[in-house]
Order: sequence, then structure tokens, then C-alpha cells
Amino acid sequence: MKNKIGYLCTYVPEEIIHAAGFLPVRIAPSTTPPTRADAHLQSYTCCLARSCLDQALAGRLNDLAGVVFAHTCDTMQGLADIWRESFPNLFVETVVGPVALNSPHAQKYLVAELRRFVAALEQHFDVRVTEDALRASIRIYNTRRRALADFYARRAEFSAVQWFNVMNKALTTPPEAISDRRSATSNQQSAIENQKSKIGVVLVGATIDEPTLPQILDDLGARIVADDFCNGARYFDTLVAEEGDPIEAIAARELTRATCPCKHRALDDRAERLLKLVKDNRADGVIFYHKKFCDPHAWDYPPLAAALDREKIPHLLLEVEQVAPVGQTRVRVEAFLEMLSEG
Amino acid sequence: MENMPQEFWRWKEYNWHAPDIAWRNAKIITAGVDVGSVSTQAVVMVDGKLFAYANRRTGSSSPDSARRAMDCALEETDLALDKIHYVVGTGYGRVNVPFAHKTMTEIACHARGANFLYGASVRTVLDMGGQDCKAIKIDAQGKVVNFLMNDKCAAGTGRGLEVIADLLQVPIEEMGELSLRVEKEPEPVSSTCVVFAKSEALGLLRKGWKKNDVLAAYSRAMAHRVAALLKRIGIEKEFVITGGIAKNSGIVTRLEKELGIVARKPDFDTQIAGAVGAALIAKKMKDER
Repeated sequence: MKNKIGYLCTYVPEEIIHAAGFLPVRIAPSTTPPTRADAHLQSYTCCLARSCLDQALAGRLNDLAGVVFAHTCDTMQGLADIWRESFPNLFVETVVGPVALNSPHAQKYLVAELRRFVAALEQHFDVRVTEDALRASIRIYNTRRRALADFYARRAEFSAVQWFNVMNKALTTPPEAISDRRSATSNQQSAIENQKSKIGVVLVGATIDEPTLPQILDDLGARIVADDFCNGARYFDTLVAEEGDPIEAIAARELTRATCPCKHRALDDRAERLLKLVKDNRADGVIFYHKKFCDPHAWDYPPLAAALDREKIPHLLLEVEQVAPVGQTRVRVEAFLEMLSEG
Repeated sequence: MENMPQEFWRWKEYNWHAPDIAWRNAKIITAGVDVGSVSTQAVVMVDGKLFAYANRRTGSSSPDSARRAMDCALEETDLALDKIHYVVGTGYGRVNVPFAHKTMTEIACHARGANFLYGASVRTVLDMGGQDCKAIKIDAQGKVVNFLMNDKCAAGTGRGLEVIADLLQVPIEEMGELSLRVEKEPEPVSSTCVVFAKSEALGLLRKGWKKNDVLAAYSRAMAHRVAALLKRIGIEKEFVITGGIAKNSGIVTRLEKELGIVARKPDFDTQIAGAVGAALIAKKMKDER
């Protein structure tokens, strides 16, 4: 039996999938230009949706027993339907979490939705998701979150490309494989020379899926001192409480962890978090790394940019498709770093 | 054999030098080489004064283009490359200037160059180059405060103009003036994508439009696109334009109209601004060593 279930968004509760006996793995865009997905998607769809669907249509995700979506943006919602129609025999579910995380009903609503998801898994695969199994999975995932947080605390020892490799490996390997900083960074020789570089930047975006930008930052001697990526710091932010009802605890974490632009907690929530990341890590500037046609991040950009402007924190907006063009990206990043080092 | 077709896109390649500067008495001789996607400039400065420069077309090899431009700049002087103390490479091919000591992006160099050529009151620089377009905010020292670049295509760039020059068989250096000689300003072409705009321009010609009107429609679309970039970064006075397209009066006039601001008019070749900036940065780097 196939034992992996794919997901595209970190609002999908990995612990529940894991407790049902499956390994949750992140489906990430590849660097191969899509050929099959274009027939299903409009040209204004982001490369994440396009590439992931393309891999599925090309048969490269045939080892998955199912794919779970989280309702975040319109594209993800539409993509789930296309997936469902394209693979009628596959387990395809959408977890529809609350958008207004500050609503008094959010917790109750999300708990009900998570229980519905548990029941859907149980019914489709004829398994039982027990409370004990959920608690065990929560502990395993919390261990991985702590390990990644520990890696982040020592990230100055690692290059930007190493950071990229560690995070992208973390979301595709069994959670037990990463139990501490050493296992998170296995195969990554710490690049101590990176410590001498002076300019520190914070990266902000949905996901970062190919290493062009980290490589450019390494080449130019800049450091990523913090990030706000779905497959970066947002992924392991906030632990799930290990006591009490496990579904209640998983829901509570989703409502309190660092938000993505598809969720709302307070008007200045993301701006305040970004300013704190800059100040706490003494960053010199911020690089927004947007996927073309990702409208949630594009809508959130003006208030975030305005908040940075108010604090006189320089920022750069990069808009990339599947693979960032090296020359174009490099001239923007290099000019930005020149600007920061002159200032 | 047919006659060789006229190359309407071709612009003048040339060199210049200051006859009255004695480089032998100089404290410091620096150079900047700006290898762009379409053109390459080499500028030599003697104690921070313009001594010689050349403007050439970029070839398929960046090192060769850099060497050719530098040879051309020095051609009519008795200065040799090995007498130049410090060279900074900039532009798209900046890492491939074989005789450069350092590299700097064209954004920093155009900022510095505009500050030198137009004066310290410049706050907004629009660099309209061969393959991209940059809006740069600068301070009184010519340092970059903020910048924006266009998307990765030839829309609103020199290469786009060359394609249209060829299509309409109008010499590129006359395009601007011709585009202003219209009875009524036409609607802009709807696309500035070079490929689409080219087919749209063809369609207009078939409909019986005059060349001037097609040029006006294309120039207006280009000006509109560039104006959007400037509006996003916010324009502060003084506003200046560098790069090759600054020489196209049709685009500059329409841009000024759309923005409601007049660009300072240059009394030098705007295409050398990047290389001038590089040569000045070279001087600063050498001074600090």
C-alpha cells in the first residue's frame, strides 16, 4: 500500500495524516518547465500550482495515496477541484480552515473541520486515527519543530544555500529523521566563512523552491538572518500543546502560528511580525520574494512596504516565476546590497 | 545580388577625447566600462575629469566588447590601458570585463553618473537602456536611495525601438522627431511587448496609417509603461533620463507630458552615464585604498 500523502500548504495538519499511518510530504514545484498543466490552468496562475499539477499529470506523484489541500487562496481551491477531476480514484481532500483567526468561533469551527477530515481519512483508507496515535504524532512533529528552531538559532554558521537545502529536505523526509539540529543539518558542512559577511537580509514570501536567490546571496556575501516563508520559519512556528484533546490542540496552533496572507488575525499582524524580525535579527533590509500571480502576497505587499518605509528599513521586491532568472535577479539583489552597504 | 539593406536600427558608434588634458601630470587615472546588452561604453577620467570615451555596439562576447570600447576610447590619445590606475566594470557584462579591478551594478553607476553629469540636485534618474529600464532615486552624493526595474522583457527598451525602426524603415536616430510630427496624437498601441507591438504596428500600417502615426502610437505606449515604473517609485525633482532612449525626443516628450514633469536636458551623450559613474566609483575606490 502507498504510504505517502502529499500536501501543498502548511495549513494541512501533518499530525493527523501521520496518525492515520501515512507520511505527509510537501509537493513542491520542480524546476522543469510544465507541459501538461497549461491545458488546465489560465496563464495568470502561479508557478506553484502549475508545476505541482504538471508533476501529477506527468505521473511523477504516482506514489502518493492522496493529496490534501488547505483552503487558502482561490488558486489552491480551484487546483483541488482540477486534481479531483483529473484523478478520480485518488483521495483528494480540502481542509477548509477559518480565515478570520481572531473570530470567537474560529477554534470551534476548525475543530469540527479537523474532525471531519479525520473521519474522511478513516473512511477512505479504512483506518482508525486514535487519540494515542495523534498524541504520538504531535510529539514527533514538535520534536522536528524544535530541531528546526534550534537550527535557525545557529543559522549564522550556515550559508543561504545550506539553509535552503535543510528546509527543503525537512518537509519531504519522515519527521523522525529530524530530531535535533545535527540531524537537520546532516550532510551540510557549516560554512563558517559566511559569518564574516556583513549585510543581513530578511526574506519574505510564500515559498522558496529553487536556490537561485540563496546562491546569489552567498556569492555576494550577504546573509539571510530571518525569513517569513511557508517552507521556512512559518513552518515550525509555535508548538502544538501535548496535553488535552489533540484535535483541539492542533486547531489552537493553527490559530496562533505566524500567519500567511490568506489568513487574518489583526490588521497589522504581519507588518508587526516583519518589523520584529528585522529588529530582533538586526537586519539591514528586506527582500520580498514573490511568485508571479500570487495575489495574496501581492495584496499584502503595500501595507508591509509602507510599514518598512515608516521605519526607514530598505526593501526590494523580486517577482519570480518557476526559476528566478539569474542575471536579472542578480543585478537587482546586487544593486540592493550596494545600496545597503553604502547607507 | 540585391543591394545591402539599410540597417535602420544602427546608431552612431564613435569616440571622443578632451584635447587639453595632460594625463601625464595626473594624480589618478580611472576608467569605467559599461557592457550593456545592446551598447558598450568606455570612459576614461583623469583626476575626476572626462578625458576620453567611446560608445560601441555590444557584440556576442562581453570581454571583446569591453576591449573594443576601451581601445576605441584611447585610439586618438597617447594614453595606454596600462597607465590607467583603476577600472570598474558595470552593466550586464560587468563580470566579464577582463581589465576591471572591481564591478558595480549599472544602477549604482547611473546614479553616480547622473549626479556628475547633471549635478547634485538630481533626485530621480530614469535609465532607459537596451534591454531594461530602471527608475532610481538618489541623494545629493549620487548614492542610490531606492530603485525599481522593469520586467524581464524588451518592452520599453532600446532593443524594442530597434525592432520598430527596422519594421518601419526609419533611421533610429530620427524616430523621435518623426513621431512628434503627427496631426493628432493617436491612441497608444495596446501592447509594449516587442513581438506583439510589432504585429500590431504592422496591422496599423496595413490599415493605411502613416509611419509617423504608428511611431507616435508606439512611443506613447512605451512612455506610458515607463511612466508607471516612475509613478511606483515616486518622482522627486530634479528628474533626469540617462541611457540611449533619452535621445529619443518622441518618448521623452510623451513621458514628460504623462508625468507632468520636465526632464533636465543634457548637453552630453546620455548613453555614457553608466560608464562615467563607474569611472567615478573607480576613483573613489582607489582613493580609499
